[in-house]
Amino acid sequence: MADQEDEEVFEIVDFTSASEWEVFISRLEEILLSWQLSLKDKEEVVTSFVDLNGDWKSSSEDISFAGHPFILTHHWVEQSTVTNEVNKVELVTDKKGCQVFASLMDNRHDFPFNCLPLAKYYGLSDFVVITPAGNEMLTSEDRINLLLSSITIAVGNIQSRAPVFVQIHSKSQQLYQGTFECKNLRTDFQMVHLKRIPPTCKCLSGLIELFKDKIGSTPLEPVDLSICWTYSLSDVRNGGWEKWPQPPPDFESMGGVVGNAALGQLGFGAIRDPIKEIRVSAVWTGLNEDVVVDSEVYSDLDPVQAPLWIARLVLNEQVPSLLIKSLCSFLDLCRSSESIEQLLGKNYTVLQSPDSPEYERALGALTKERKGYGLLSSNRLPFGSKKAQTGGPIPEAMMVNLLNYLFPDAEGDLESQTHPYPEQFQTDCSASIDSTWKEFFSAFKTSPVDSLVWRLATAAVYTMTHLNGIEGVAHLWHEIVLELRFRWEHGYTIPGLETGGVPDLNYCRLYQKLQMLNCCINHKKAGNSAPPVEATDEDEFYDAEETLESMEATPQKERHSVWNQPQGRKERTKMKLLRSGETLYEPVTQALLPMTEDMVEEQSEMMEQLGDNAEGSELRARILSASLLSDMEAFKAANPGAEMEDFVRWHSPRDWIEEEVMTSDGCKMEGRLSGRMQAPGNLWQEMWRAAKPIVAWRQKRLFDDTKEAEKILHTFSALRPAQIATLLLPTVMHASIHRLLEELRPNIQLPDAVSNCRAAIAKIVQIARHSPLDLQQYEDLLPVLQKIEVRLSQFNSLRRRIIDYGDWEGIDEFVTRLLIDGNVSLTGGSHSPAGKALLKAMGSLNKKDTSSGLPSPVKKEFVLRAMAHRPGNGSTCSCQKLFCSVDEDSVRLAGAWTQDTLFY
Amino acid sequence: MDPSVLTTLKILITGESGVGKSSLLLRFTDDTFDNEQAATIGVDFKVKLINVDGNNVKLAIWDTAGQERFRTLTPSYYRNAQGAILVYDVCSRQSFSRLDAWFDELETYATNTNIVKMLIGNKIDKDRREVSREEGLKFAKKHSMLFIEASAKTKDGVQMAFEELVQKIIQTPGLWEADVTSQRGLSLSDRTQAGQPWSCSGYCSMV
Ligand SMILES: Nc1nc2c(ncn2[C@@H]2O[C@H](COP(=O)(O)OP(=O)(O)OP(=O)(O)O)[C@@H](O)[C@H]2O)c(=O)[nH]1
Ligand SMILES: [Mg+2]
Repeated sequence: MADQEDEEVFEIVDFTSASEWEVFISRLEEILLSWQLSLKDKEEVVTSFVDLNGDWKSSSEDISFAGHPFILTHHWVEQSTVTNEVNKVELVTDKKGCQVFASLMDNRHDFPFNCLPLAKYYGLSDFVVITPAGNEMLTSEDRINLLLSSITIAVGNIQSRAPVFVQIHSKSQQLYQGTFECKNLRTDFQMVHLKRIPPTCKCLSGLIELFKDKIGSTPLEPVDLSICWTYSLSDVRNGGWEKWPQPPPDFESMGGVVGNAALGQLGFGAIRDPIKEIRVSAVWTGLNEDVVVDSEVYSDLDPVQAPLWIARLVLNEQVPSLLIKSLCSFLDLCRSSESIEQLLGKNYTVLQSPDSPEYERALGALTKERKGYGLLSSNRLPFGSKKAQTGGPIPEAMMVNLLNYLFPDAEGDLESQTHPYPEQFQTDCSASIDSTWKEFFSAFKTSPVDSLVWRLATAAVYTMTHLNGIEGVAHLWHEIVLELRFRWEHGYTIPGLETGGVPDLNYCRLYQKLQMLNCCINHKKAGNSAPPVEATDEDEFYDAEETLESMEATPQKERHSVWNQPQGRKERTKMKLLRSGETLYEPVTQALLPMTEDMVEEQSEMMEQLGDNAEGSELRARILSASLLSDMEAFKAANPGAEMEDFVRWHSPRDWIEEEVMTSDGCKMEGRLSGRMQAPGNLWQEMWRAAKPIVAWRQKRLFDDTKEAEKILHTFSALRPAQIATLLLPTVMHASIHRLLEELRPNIQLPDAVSNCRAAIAKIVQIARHSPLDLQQYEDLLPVLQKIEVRLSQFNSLRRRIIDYGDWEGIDEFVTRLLIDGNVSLTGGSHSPAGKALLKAMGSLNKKDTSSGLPSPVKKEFVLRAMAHRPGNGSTCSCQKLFCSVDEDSVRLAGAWTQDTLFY
Repeated sequence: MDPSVLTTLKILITGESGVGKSSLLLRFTDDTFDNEQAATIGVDFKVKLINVDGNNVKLAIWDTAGQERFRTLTPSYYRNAQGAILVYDVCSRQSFSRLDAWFDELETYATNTNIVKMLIGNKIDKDRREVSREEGLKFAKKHSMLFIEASAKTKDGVQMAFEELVQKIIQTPGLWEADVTSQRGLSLSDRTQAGQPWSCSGYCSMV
């Protein structure tokens, strides 16, 4: 080998005089060799079956011929995609064989649906195509022939294992001529595409005649036939789908009076039909010319009786969908910059302070109009403030709908509410979702399903998408703030929130703020009412448990002087005051300080800033001691004459140490304060000394409800629509994925949709915890949600259509496979369950009454094969094939004609 | 911020009043002990830099009050903690039996689902022990916690307890993030609408 190469170096080859076609041939050979297509030194492994719907690969090189640029492309199916196990076993090494001939003659290669046209016409899985580069076209007969003969020489020289084709005429026509050679057998690939259909091509008998004519000699055996007739179920053809229901919600026609049902739900589904067409092919293979007659006057072929049907799905690409559309506009809202005043004008100015005349006016009107609030008004009274203004962007009736949806209690009692809140909020997911999703749902830092914030979120999306956009949202929020203020002023609890007493930090901040507002409202109501019923000495008297003790007790009233009456007793304990021996009472104490997350953060930040030294510790203790002082004062009020020891026994029992001590009368329990409570200069003692007996409701308020509520309401009313939207965004995302999961029925196996849902949930859980939130992260989620929505609407649309014509156990599986694989083979044809439904569907489309009950096919395809001696009887027997496709207005014939190049 | 600090970790100490939470913390941070350590009012706070496996880690340790009346204040301090230390007094059966309630609270309010939990049985220097080491071990095992017995008074086990906890946190993926507080604060405010209400960028970016 090495010697040879050395020789070649010194051998001078003169290319200076080489003609253009010699240059072309050597370049072509070079490329084919680099693609390892030469069979010179290699035995070919013949794979009997290759799935032509499999994984196609290609690689390209530039080549020119007489100054014209061409592109040379090698197409092949990746062999690992030989999917069927059985076929792998069938791998045979046939030294006489040749992959191209095997492919041509294998009827399992007939009628693939997802491959290049050339592969389809000839059943090839490995070939090379030369295409004119750019807009050039090969039309001249001479040139085509020159090119082809050059190719033939190159292909022969290197013994290419792949046939080489040239694309001719306009590219869209998909016309090719090609050549292949193997063991002295040459195959010519020829193609015609006719706009007028000659009668011979319309039926099988004519085609067989044509085929035999072209072969020239009698085939060894009767001509082998494969036939495929394809029918279409589509909305384009035959005006056909109109019977197939596909009602995307028509929001235009709903106008301003959208049904209330749509209020509570985010939009879902494709706006246009995601399904373009279902194609059904009736397939016959392994027939021969002696057993079947199909002429212009008579046909044995009844598609209803065909042994195999193949259903195929054609989707409409890039169908816009409702949920994504509304999410996009919601994100736009998050990015907007206008204030409510800028959007709606002066009449909607923020009500700055309760002293402003404007505030007075608005409130005066409010209170006047809403007198019957919650008692008798079965339909919500419009706000006075709005009456003064000439109609906001949202029509009044619609606004009432929205407000009734958000604050249903204003409509009256439970029965009269159109959208009552659920009795209990589900934190994970509602019943409308398959329970397997529950575990994913617990970690959302948003708001409970169908709570006020949830409804606010869906109402805002709804308003943004269907009602006046950003102005609508501004208007809605304005009304909501008025409603909230009204409730605060008049002591009506805000509905649709969990009643936990304090804000739940596991939810989003808006939710916490509304809970806080409720705390204020409830606190104010409690504060204004009479002090709670106290535990009195009389109670003690009648208490059965301690009758004995009580009987012993001296008359109660006189025990305390008038100015030192016990007050604010909540519950008696089993303990006695050390000095007086009276019962120790637990005092009524001030309600706890409710805090929202931002307050906690603010507080802990402040605590941190005090430093971590001793002074910091002391300052922190002093700041936090307000509630301790309040407890001490309340305790003193409830227990006149109490000592610090008494207080500690109630407040911090572990700091009261009881020990057995030996006295003269034997063993006795004796108690004392713990060392840390006794220590001189200790804050506890200091505070105890300072504490005055003051009953809880006369103390300085720990929790200033008015201040808190005004602060919240003021922030609310100053929010720009973008800020409102941003506060709602995590919940909007939660509601979106929730909506999608409602569509994902439990028995559906759509692996891509399921895994996308999982990914989206994980992402939402993660980003909803970030504060301040990052819009980009939400934006990044949209493509995933879109994939889910599109997939689910495809499924729904497809299933709804099929089920109209038949419902069987395997329908979901059929629909899923059709969607994911693009095609489903139905063994048994029209007798299979899916076949029955499809047959019925096609029957319903059939306006012209044909005998089969089917409409006329949109396409008929035939494959004819035979082995014959060509060109003469002395030639080796070789394979001949004709593919023919007839549709409504054209016919395509693709022939592969093989002949012996040595013997005639 | 010290550039060599790998991360800041938030740690919370809870348990019954008087079991020695503040004492353990002071022993760890200042190496002091006070027989008359004042009962904590509300919550206290300490910072300590420690080196674990060659990494400087800043600990922000929150010491909560064990007294019943303060307990409504403390749940909010569980937020975003990466580590939680539950303390009982080995000489107080009662402080041990209350652990269940403390553990429930921890489970309810901790926002990091994989928060590292540690159980410390304190005051082993005292005689008249009421809770055996085995009982402590059993509880810790049942709730997948780290466990150690210690004495704030004699220093036994204190340093080790905190180091062990931090090491475990550092080894838990997704529980902490390297400190990039300054850069992150900037990029966030650049990208988002200025002025999202009720969100502060300082403390909470520690999340
Ligand atoms: N003998 C002994 N005493 C201890 C130990 N640790 C703490 N103490 C003492 O126990 C008492 C209570 O300790 P603290 O640290 O204040 O307890 P705490 O858990 O912080 O209590 P609260 O702040 O009320 O929740 C103090 O008097 C301490 O001196 C210890 O290890 N051994
Ligand atoms: Mg303490």
